[in-house]
Parts: sequence; structure tokens; C-alpha cells
Amino acid sequence: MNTTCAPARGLVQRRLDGDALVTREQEILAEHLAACPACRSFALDLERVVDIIEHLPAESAPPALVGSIMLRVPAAQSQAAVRSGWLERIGQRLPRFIGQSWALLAGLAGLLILIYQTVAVRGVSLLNLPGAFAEWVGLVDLSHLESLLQATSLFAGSVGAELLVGVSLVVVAIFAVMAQALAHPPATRMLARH
Amino acid sequence: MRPDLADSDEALAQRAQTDREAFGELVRRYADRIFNLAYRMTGNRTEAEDLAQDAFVRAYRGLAGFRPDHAFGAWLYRIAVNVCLTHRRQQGAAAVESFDKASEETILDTSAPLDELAEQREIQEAVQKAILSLPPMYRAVVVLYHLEGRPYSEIAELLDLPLNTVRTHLHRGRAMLREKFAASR
Repeated sequence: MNTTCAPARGLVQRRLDGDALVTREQEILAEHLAACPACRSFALDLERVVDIIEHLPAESAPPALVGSIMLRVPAAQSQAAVRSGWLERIGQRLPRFIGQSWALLAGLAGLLILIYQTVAVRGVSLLNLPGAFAEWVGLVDLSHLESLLQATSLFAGSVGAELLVGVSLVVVAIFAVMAQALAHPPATRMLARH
Repeated sequence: MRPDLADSDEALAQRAQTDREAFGELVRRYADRIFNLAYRMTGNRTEAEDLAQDAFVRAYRGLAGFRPDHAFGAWLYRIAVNVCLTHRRQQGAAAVESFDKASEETILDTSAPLDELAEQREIQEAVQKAILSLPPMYRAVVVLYHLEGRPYSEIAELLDLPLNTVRTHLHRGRAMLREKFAASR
């Protein structure tokens, strides 16, 4: 292979790529191929190899391939929720969160009533609580809150009724959260079905 | 909504994020092509089937990142090529070496077939094995360009390579194939 072989082989490659060689390049290539048997053989072999590659028979996919892929693809909606962006995820989960949040609010209200029941109505002194927390709480004057709650409560003066309302709200909240959990099974359960 | 045959790939890809049937239609449209690509990259039908499955599952998981102003086919090919190249890397050098040796022996097998058809089949097998013996990036470029008919610009994007590197890989890959082909005669 002499110094003109490499440029000539480059032109052979470009011709195979479908590049349009300018007239001068075509002349140089033709002259070189006529004079150099090695490059002539290179050009012929290369064209033959490309021709064989481009006529290799296409391999058909096994008939079961589509089904196998779809078995591995989970239900689109639950999958979309898992992989979409954080903004979309919030958008998708917000309705469910709102559905659960009323139950959380009910549970919180029930707990507050029970605490109020124990601390204010039943006369457990906040100052008896230990440590710095008790000191801080002791500074809070609950008398206004107590009178306000008793004035606005439907069950003002009825200690047993307030206790009942508090417990009921907590129980309702627990049932609501359980119902939500059953209505929206986790993604893994959905995946197992497919 | 039932996928329509007239739906574009890109429209189906967008719907597929919330519609499993739309993704099923895309799988039906591309299963043969992606399997064929994986087969040309591995030379093994079982491996090609596994890799094609992996490519589609990965594409499904990545649908949220698909931009409808891009061609779905090119996007899917990119995933499939990456799956094949990663698989090849995971196979380890030992497997590659033994496979390449086997390819070489087949190519150098000079026992002449009796009829033309058998000869043609043998030449095709030899070329397929020669393709498999190429370095993975050369092989990917040769397969994408000559078997899948993808243009340079798309191959450069698929493989994250500069255009000139794709061209160089193709030229070197072809020259290596030619050497093996010439040595087998």
C-alpha cells in the first residue's frame, strides 16, 4: 500500500456512504483503482460485504414477544403515578389526600376534645406536669379558652357528652383511614395482578 | 380508547402514559425491528428476546420523559441500543473472547457448500458473525447504518457521539469486516 492508497480508500468509503464525489475526486479514484490491484480488491470486497449486510434476512420476533412485554408492563395509571414528575404526582395524589385529610382533621379534633376533657374540665392541674414543659404550659392562661369552649359547646357543662364526642371522632377517623386504604390498594398489589 | 392504526407513533406514545392499549400498539409496531436490532447486536435469539423485552419495559417507564416533537422510533432505538451495549459490557471480556474466536473459526471454514443457496446462507452467517466480532461501538454503527438504515445524524444522537466519530467508526468497522471476509476466501 503506497501513500496514495489511504486517500483512495477514503474515497471508496465515502462513495459507499452515498457522498457525491466531485469530478476531480472521481478521476483520482478511477486512476488509482486502475493502477492498484490491492485497492481495487479492497473496493470490490467492501461493496460485496455491504451488499451482503444489507441483504441479511430480517429476523422475526418470536410470536410470544408482544405478550411477554405486555405482561411486564404494569397498568398504565398506577405506573404513571409512580414515575411521573413531582408536580404531576402531587396533582394525582391531592384528591386522595383531601379524602383522607377530613378523617385526619376529625381525629385531631377528637384528640383535642379528649385533652381538653382531661386537662381543663376534669381539673387536672397543668402545673403538676414535670419539668420545663409544665413551666411553659403553666404560663398559659386556659381560663379564657375554657369559658369559650364551654360557651360555644353544644354540650356545655356535660362532661360525659364531650368525652363521647371526642372518642367517637377518633374512632370515625380510624375507620375512614382504613376505608381509604382498602379503596386504594398499594401499587405493589396492582402490579401483582398483571 | 382503542388505538387506531392511523395514529402516529408520537401520538400513541403520549397516550401510552395513561393508556396501556396505546403502548401495546407501539409494541406491536416495533417488536420485530427492536428484536432484529438486538439479534444483530448479540447473534442469539434468546438473548435478543430478553433484551427486546428490557428495552420496551425501560421505554414504558421512561414515557414521561418522551418529547412528542421527537421521533418515537429514534427514541426507542436509543434505548434499545443502550440496553444492548450495557448487556455486552456486563457479559465480560471472557465471553467476548470465546465468542470472537468461534466467529473467526466459522469465517475461516473453507469447506465448500454443495449448492448456491447453502453457499449464500453460509456467507450470510459468516458476515453476521464477523459483525459480532467487531468492537461494540463499531458494531452498533454498522448495524444501525446498514441494517436499520438510520442516517449518520440520528446515529450520532443515539450513541452520543460526534458525527465525525460515527463516520470513522463506520469506515473502520467496514474495513475490519472486509478483512475478515477476504481472509475467509
